[in-house]
Amino acid sequence: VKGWIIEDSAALAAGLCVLLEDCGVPVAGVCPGTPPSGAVDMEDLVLVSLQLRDGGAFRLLRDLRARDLQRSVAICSSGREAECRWAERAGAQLVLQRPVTRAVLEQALARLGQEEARGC
Amino acid sequence: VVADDAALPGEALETRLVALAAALPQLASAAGTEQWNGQLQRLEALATWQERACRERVTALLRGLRSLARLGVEQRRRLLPQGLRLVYQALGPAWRQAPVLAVLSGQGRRMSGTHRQVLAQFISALPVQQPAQASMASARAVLRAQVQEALRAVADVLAAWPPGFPVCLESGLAARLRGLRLAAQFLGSDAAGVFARLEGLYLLASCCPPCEAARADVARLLQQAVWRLSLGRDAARELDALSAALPCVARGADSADLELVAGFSALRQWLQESATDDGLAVNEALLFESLRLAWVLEAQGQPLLAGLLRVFHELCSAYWYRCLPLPLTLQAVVRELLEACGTGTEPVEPLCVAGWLSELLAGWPPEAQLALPASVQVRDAEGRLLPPCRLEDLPARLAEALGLVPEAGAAWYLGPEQWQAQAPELERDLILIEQGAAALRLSALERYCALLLEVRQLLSCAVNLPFPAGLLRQCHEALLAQLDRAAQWLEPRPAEAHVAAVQDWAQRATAALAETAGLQARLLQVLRPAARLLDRSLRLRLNPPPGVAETPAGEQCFHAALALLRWLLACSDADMRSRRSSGLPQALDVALHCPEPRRLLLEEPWSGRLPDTAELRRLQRKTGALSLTCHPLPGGGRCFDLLLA
Repeated sequence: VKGWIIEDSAALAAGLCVLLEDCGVPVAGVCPGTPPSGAVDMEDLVLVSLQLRDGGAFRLLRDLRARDLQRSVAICSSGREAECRWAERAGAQLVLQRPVTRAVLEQALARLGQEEARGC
Repeated sequence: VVADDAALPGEALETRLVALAAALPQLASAAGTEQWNGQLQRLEALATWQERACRERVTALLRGLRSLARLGVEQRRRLLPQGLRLVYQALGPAWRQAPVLAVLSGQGRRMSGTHRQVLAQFISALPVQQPAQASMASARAVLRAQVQEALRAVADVLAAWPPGFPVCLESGLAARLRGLRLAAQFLGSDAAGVFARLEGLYLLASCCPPCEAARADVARLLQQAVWRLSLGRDAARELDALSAALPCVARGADSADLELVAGFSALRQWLQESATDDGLAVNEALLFESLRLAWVLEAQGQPLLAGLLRVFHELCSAYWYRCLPLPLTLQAVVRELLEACGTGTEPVEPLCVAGWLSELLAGWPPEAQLALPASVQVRDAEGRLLPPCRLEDLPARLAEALGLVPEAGAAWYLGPEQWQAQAPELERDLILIEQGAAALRLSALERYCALLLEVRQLLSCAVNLPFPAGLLRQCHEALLAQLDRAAQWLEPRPAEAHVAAVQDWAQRATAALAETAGLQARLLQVLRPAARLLDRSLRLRLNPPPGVAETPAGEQCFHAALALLRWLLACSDADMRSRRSSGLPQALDVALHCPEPRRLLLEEPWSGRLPDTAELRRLQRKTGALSLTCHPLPGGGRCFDLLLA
């Protein structure tokens, strides 16, 4: 499994890179928009910041769902419930609130694993 | 661990040693000294397995590096490149190509921006190898071939990017470019310069994405430059063009700093432009930038300023949500705050932050809760009231309640059958969104939903027009885009051209109703042009007994309903104002029932005003009814009851 970070802030993306790799998920790439279709595998983990400058985070989540990606995690900066619920409706398997810590990310990965196991 | 390392074969041992050295910059910025010393011990242990002269040099220099641990983090960062250079020289010529191998094989790719800079300084400080002429020539030939191969691999990765794809930071690609730059140092200063420039431009393009228009150009120029280099050609022109497309190159600023500069500039610009007589107008760009800036500051290790910006964002949201400007009394404190913050890269006095925080908190709208209804209720498609909820909770409730709209449902629009199968549920969603938008005063979204509901009604009248599959798909996408904005508390704004196209189709469909039989079609055909003139949205739901429309009773129903609906349209102005203030939908949504052949009930769920006796008498005369009464509906709204002659 490798990780993709969809974030258009270099400072925030750098923090997520370190966190992901600390959790044992190698980072395959950081993009400010949709990652190249051939590069992302179905089992890849994709972290999507909802605070993208062009406001296209939800559309991106829907694109990922249309591509049958199983592990998309939205990262919410505002803490508003409506934003989190809408991200779930757009296809995010999980929504994490900033600040994302290592413990939070590990829990999220464990939960994704459990859900996949239950799905199997 | 030492024993394991010692058991490694010679080549792997070298790589291991370089990997340990490469991790030093990362450890240097950590506050603790334990790991730093541990790493140095491992380096020393590895050196003990080398020949004596090398071992002695390494041991002596490691002592110097240990002394770095006693310094502060900043000093350690500054002195480290120099220290590592000494270690590198101590290792001897046999190991000097090891960094190239290590980086080409992907070592050190976890490094963040700061660590990358430290490593870059370290690498740039390395002396170029000067072996004997003969061996140097053969080594260069091998290396040149390796570089060409690595370039072709990079060109392949870049070529796989779809057209218009923004340059993105891929760790594999970054590692390859870094490796190329390192390898190029051994090929001469010209090649080193080209590859250093290529890597720098790639990192900048990926970390500071340029404006939308330039994105495609940047990716294309990068692809062209690498492609030309992989063919052994000169790429100076492409690199120049790439450099020109990235204005930050000239300034050489750190990308995170650039984000802070951009964020604070946006706030300053807002402060200059937003002042009106009533206060400071809050816009969406301000909300977005303040929230984003807070998180970037947090990531940059400025928690105090980050917290302050978050409070400022919440304050602006509180005013924006209530359509109120920020009071002018806050202008001075915001100006002072922005002046003191500068570019946000320097720490700010905690006492100052506390002072601004106190001022911001004092500026919170005290009457905010009174300006809004405490709770709101929405109805389902059948007109039933759903449980009340707080206004703030409504968007989340709606997001959960919607059935079809959030799904990617291109299949609905393939043809009329698929559409008909999904239309009732889609209508239910649209009604919910319309009500939610009205409650939240998102008038553009509310009007757009009303328009879509009109389209849905016209389609159900089976108008004799080709099925507008493309238009419906666009409607779905436009609606999703607006809901995306609404979920982030941004004002939804449907594209004017798209709305005009939908209205145009609705107008043509209304004209085509002339060829359609039925009471609903006849009423819509007459009333829709009038509603359009008055800028009203009109929806009619009809429930007459089968066959009534073609009988004399049906004709009477038509004339009575037409007169009543014309009256409703004509006097809808005052009604709309009261609805707007109560957060109710503006559309004229009417349900007509014929429980008996000569009885007509007209229900209007969103209007509670009951006409007085004189109005009722005039209406009775216009409709030609034997009797006409109006009573309130149990769940809100009103019902006109007509007994026809």
